[in-house]
Amino acid sequence: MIVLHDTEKVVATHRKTWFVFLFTGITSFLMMLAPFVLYAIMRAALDPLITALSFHLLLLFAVIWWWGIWTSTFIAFSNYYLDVLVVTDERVLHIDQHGPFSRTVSELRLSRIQDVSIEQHGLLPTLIHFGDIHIQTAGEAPNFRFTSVPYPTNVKEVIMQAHRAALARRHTPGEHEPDV
Amino acid sequence: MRLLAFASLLVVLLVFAAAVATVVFHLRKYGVPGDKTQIILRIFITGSVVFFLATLIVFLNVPWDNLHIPTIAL
Repeated sequence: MIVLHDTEKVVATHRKTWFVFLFTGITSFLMMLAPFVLYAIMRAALDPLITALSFHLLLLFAVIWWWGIWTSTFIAFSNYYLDVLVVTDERVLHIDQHGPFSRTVSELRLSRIQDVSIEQHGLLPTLIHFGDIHIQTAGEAPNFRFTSVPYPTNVKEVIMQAHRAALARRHTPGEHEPDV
Repeated sequence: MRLLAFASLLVVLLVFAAAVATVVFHLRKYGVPGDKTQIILRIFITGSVVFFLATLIVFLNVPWDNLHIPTIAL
């Protein structure tokens, strides 16, 4: 759960590219087809009468299989969907969902950003426009790395604009950064 | 046979119930406010309910007392 400070506003929210989930989605779809393939093989190899009597049992296994694929796909989708980079007007939040009941939440104040760089390697990242974002910080705070972000150049600009705005507010007389 | 099958089904349903609860818990608690989390949850819960009902209906239609174990035709 993302808890914002009193005057904090969300500037942008970014997730990983859909391409990251594509392989899982295709695998799930192919596994959904497995009962049909198995039934076709069994019909060819077994006595049709016996197959007909056990049809409902096979159907039961198939339904349970499909339910399992459906649920595991959504567990994988939750891991993908809950990986979020949130840029507010005060900080950058990186929520990394590793799996069920396992996540890392990192936070970086905008004023501590020193450099934002992007990496795009390969044909697919270039064609589909996704890449990695590295945020270098001042001091001993660990650097941020958010992988497979769509249109990383735009995301970099959003972060840099928020960073400049945060610095401008910091240097405005009478204004100060809220305490953490 | 029917009793054994029903006990097995209960175990399977419990496992699925835990998995469904896990997904719903994570999406409700950790979803970013204002995004598509609610739509995704509705799709997932609807699908899970459909599969649950289908499992029950098919289970009740299996002829447990007249079940034949398939053999390879020679």
